[in-house]
Amino acid sequence: MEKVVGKNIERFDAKSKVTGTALYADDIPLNDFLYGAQVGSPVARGILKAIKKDPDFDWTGFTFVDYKDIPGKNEVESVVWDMPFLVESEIRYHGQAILLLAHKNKETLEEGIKRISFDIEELPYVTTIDESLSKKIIMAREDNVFRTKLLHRGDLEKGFKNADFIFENTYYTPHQEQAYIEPFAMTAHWENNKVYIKGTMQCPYYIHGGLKVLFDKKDDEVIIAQSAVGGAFGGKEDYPTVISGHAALLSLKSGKTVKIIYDRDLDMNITTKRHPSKSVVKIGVTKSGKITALDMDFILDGGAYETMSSVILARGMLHAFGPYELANVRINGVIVATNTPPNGAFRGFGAPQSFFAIESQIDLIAQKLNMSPSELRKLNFVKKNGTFPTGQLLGDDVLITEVFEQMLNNADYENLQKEIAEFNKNNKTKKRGFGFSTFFHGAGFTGNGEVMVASKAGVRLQKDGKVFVLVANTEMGQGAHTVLPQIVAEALELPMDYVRTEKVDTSIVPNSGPTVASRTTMIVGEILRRVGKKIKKTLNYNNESDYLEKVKAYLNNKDSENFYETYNKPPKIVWDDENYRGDAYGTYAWAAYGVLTEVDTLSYDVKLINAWSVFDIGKVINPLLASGQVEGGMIQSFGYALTENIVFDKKGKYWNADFTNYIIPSIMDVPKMHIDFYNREYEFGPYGAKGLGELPMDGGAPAVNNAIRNAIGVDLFNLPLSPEQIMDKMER
Amino acid sequence: MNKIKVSFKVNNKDYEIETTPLRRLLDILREDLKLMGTKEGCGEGECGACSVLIDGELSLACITPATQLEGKEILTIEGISDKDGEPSYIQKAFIDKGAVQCGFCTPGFVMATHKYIKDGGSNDETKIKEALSGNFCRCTGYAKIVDGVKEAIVRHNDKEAK
Ligand code: FES
Ligand code: FES
Repeated sequence: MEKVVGKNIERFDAKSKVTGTALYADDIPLNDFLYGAQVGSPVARGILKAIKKDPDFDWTGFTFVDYKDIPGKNEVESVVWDMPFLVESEIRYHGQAILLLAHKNKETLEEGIKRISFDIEELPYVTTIDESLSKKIIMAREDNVFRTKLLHRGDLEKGFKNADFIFENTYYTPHQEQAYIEPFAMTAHWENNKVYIKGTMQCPYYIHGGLKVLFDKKDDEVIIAQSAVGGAFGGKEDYPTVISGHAALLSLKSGKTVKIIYDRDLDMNITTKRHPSKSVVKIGVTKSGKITALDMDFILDGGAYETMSSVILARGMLHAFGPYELANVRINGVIVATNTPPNGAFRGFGAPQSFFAIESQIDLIAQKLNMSPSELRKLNFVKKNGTFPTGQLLGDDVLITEVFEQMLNNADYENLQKEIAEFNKNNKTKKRGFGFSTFFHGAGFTGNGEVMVASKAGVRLQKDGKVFVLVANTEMGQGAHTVLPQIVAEALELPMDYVRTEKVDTSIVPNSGPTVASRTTMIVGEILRRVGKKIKKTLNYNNESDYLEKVKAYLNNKDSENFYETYNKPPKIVWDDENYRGDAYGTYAWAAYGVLTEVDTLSYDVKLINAWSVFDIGKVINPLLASGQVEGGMIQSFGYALTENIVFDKKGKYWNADFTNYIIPSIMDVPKMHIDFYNREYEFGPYGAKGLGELPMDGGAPAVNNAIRNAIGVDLFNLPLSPEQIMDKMER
Repeated sequence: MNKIKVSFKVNNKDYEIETTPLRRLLDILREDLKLMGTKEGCGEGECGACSVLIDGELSLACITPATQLEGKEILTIEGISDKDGEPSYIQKAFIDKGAVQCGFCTPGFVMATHKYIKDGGSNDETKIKEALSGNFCRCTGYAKIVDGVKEAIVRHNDKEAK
């Protein structure tokens, strides 16, 4: 039997997408429906006194919903349920939904939105971490602090005493918008007291849980289905619960199907973004470059409600120490509140922020010590069978040194340095530099997350021999619905055409957990591999035709049978969430970036010329899809490095919530990318695969920062690494 | 609001519709003609997801009002596929080179590529990038889209040679 794992199997959805026939949420034909919309707060903070409808406007045909129409709880289910679906009295951010409207005519609806106004007692607000920390204005909890966590190892004081030098710097990162090209769109309807949702989403069972709470419903009374999804990157992880709730409330009240579509402006203004961060990094180091202590305050801006920020803080902290063996560490994590829309998931989930700080600081130290940044790194890298600061004993699959060497090799580091020196000698106004970053990503949920979720996945075996993969994990462009069937086909020892993924609908598929945390291939894929093996063993066939005979005989007079398995924890994973000790992740995927930049010393523009990356993601199941993930993630991380930034207007509203002023990378900004994988199979992943999705996002910003440092010798501490910031440093 | 009558062709089919003068071509295509392949990513002329050809020129359907459509010939993604609905050589090249991920930007990129090749565009990477610079993709990092266009040019030239 020819192998299917490791092959560039064509995406199952490729044809429908290139021909324009794939049905995204806004493309699905509907009969007799209303358009729905929210009317949001015009201020960032206040107390709602009254909702006013223009008496001169013709309100015929409108449906109105406010919080009093909620049958269940006005709480969005999340890690912490502190956010309401609709404002009752307290307003915490600009654009927060107060009233919902629906009408069958889109233009009339838009006119109606303009004819609604609010009486609000305005209150002073905060939009930044430092404003929130100053506590001059308290806007949430007793002290603007949602949560604190501490990670600790060794003796910090002793560590700093043993240091010859101590370097302390503060790093800031801004909001980052996911900027999926398909904005939010969701449709709801009711039938026999059951609510049906269809639209763009990552995690149908999150919406399922959320709507049960909102409407006080049972499991089988809420049915969530996914349409084609035009990109998500974490942005469609938690927010879909809110928009689904809104559509379902309007549908319940009007008795009609309701579709809510956000335009780009609204989508960028009110949906979740990457948490802004502030990292105060203090590192003690000996003359020879050995790190003796790391002390870090890692502060995230959670936005107006805590929601799921605590798990993002956890992941940020558990990557904040970098790929280094450190005996004395303290990482102090804090989430503060601000009057901005709640921040949420975005590819990398806290790690891009903390890696920017640690990997920039390591490079800065190398420069101050007059050491090569590669030597400083190699000296401190965690080695095989080393220990991470949580006390996690790593195995012999620590590959940071290997991927780093391979990256330097691919970039031909020695020669490249000479070429750069030569170039810089011959160019007055253009300076080149090479910078790198070394990083990792824990695949799957943090700590005991996978055990708690206890994912169940399966397949439906049909009489005709066709096999349908039953998972709640969504296809959002990353290729999951092609990669998972590949794994199943391999386990069944059958050609690909026998296997495909069933549509994601909670009335059909089990809860195999959310499509997040780089977990789908590694965790769900492994469950499916076991399902495939079980079928193979049960039917005990030798080849394809034997298989077809045996399926018929086995199913006898049934048309199909479902086979399921649930998550099996690899042995030896133990995590203590109270004290932050133990195995934070079952395994880590390791990576290194190298970036060649060119800085224009007149305009301070930074151009990316070449980018090298080496990834250890275990076995690569589908190389074409995997390298596509890497390239896309690299470019997102370069956007984060150089241009992406949210700015506020005087009302506490995002000023640049559009593609004109929020600058994502265009095709002109893309460097030549050299992608490579370090193929080593992971014992507990399907055919040796680990997670991939988020890893490419983690390392871009520090690599670019270090390349700029290498080119023009300035130390930058804030993202984005803008021409203004460089100018400011250069002219000082 | 006053309505106007406009007649135009879409994918070689004649249409006459009554609509308000400022109604966007994007809405006419999607709502009236039920041609859902043309996407709205931004609605403000920035992302290229709504790209179509109007009288052979690459245009953005989200900022083209009904008043500009009289007598025009419009080509959308639905008019690119082969007669039987199978992918054209450009679309096949996109598939083979992995240029498609979430696919939301794809119709726009296919239209821009179609225009580029129709105008005799070369395999020069900078020229290809310039031709596609009006389109955003957040998934692919563009590398495989450039590969797809190059491959399409090769296949186009092979076809011509035959
Ligand atoms: S939707 Fe027309 S350019 Fe974005
Ligand atoms: S493939 Fe998703 S935006 Fe291009």
